[in-house]
Amino acid sequence: MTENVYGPVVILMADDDLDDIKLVREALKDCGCEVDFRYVEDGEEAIDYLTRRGRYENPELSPRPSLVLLDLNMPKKDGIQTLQEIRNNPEIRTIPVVVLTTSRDRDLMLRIYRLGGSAFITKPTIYKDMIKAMDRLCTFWFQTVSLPDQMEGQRTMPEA
Amino acid sequence: MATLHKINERKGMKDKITNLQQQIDDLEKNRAAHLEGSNRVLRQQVALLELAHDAITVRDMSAKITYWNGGAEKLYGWKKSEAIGKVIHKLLKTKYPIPLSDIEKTVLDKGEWQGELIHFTREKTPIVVESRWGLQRDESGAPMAILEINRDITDRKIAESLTKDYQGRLEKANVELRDFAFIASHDLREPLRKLTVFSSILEGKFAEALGEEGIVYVNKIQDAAVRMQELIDSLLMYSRVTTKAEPFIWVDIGEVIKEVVLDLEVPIQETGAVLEIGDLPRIQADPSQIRQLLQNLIGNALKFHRDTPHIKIYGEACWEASCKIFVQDDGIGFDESYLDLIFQPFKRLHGKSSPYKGSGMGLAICRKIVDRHNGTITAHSVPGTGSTFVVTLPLKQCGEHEVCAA
Repeated sequence: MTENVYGPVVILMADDDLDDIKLVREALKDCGCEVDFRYVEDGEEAIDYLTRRGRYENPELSPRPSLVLLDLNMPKKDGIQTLQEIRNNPEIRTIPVVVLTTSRDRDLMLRIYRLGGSAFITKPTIYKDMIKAMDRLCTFWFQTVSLPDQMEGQRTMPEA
Repeated sequence: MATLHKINERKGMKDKITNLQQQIDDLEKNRAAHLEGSNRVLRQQVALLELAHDAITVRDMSAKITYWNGGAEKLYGWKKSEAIGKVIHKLLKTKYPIPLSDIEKTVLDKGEWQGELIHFTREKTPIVVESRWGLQRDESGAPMAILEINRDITDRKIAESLTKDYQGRLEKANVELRDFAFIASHDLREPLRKLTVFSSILEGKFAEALGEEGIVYVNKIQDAAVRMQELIDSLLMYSRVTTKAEPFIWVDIGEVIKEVVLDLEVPIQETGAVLEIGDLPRIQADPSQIRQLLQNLIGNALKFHRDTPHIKIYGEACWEASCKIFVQDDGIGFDESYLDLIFQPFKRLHGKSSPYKGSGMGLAICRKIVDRHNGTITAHSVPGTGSTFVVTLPLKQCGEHEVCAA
């Protein structure tokens, strides 16, 4: 299991397409990236999870994710709104948000980066490419990068 | 002698007086004739006023009608005898765009006013009139009467509002159509991606279970999905000609060709094509669309080749404010009776099993781009000899996103 100071790394995926949730989860497994994989089915639920509202109240049961995988086209609250809310909320704004969507639209990509998206990935159409994408994502975010939650975690940890 | 002289003198005087009398008579005759003439002119003018299509009315300073021409009778349905003496605003139930007191103040201050009023006819039908008011003063300068000339513009107003209405609806329909094409192409990708991705899992993880024949079918599914993806991509590109339109700027076609040649490097090398690029004009255009246009045309010249393709790209000196650009190849050519067909979306001259693959959207996109640039596209071809595509584009654009210099 990939771990940080809290324990296993948590990925939260927000996507209304359960096929894609399954694909990403399988691809993560197949590339050997063992993470605590959580998912929600729309943007509103994603915000609920991240801000610990409603049924996500308990931090033990709904641990803070190290990375959010965000689809754009979702019911209730779409990905763009969700991204905006994450970036406007001081409590959760440092969490990297990787947009994972069908679109290849250049204007949309630019918009995502302008709104503070951490990366933009077009959903691969071949499963092999999906495994490759997840492998690189894990290598980069959990083995190469120093994630902000580790710093925040250390700062708020009680002194020994 | 003296008497004779006096007699002569008196006679001379008499003659003079007669002469003068004659002159006075003549003058009076002239004057009478002149007056008669003036009166005739005046009567004619009044008659003309009566004939005037516009409603012409005069009222005194208490708003009571003193003159009402034939035009007014016709427009409002009230006879002269019925209108004279009535208060005009009450008779016509006038609706003013600003308070009447403000209009009256303007007339008194500036001597005139004009604007649009709503009047009601005798049949209680509302009409919109373009109204001009003028103030007449008496010799001492005191306000005496107000002349009001009204022209019925109801039909024009209705036409204007209809045109506006149609324009609004047309714009809305266009936006809806563009959104539809865009959303359709985006949403169609979703299930398609599932087809590809899940069949790729079958092919990878379940190859053994499927067996050789099973894999063949899975590959067929994948090929069909790839083809559908291409169709959707080109449909999206087609709709983007209008949805992603950029403003027209000065574009050097020669420079664009250089970029296109770089983009087409691979097929140029693969076919060993020889490109001959002549003088090309500078025109006002959407640069990325012109690039797309030339890329499609040169791409076709590379695709439909027989032996080593020889492709000539050249412009013709601009005349009558438009330019011709030629893309000429020595490829397989086509029967000119299909000329109209080849520019239509999804129309292809070669079957799916032929070596010439494609979505059938390339030339349709070309025509849409040329249309947006207010130009034309056509082609000449002899099967087995080659084709020449001719694009005629205006030098300057004066349409949407215009940059028309004086």
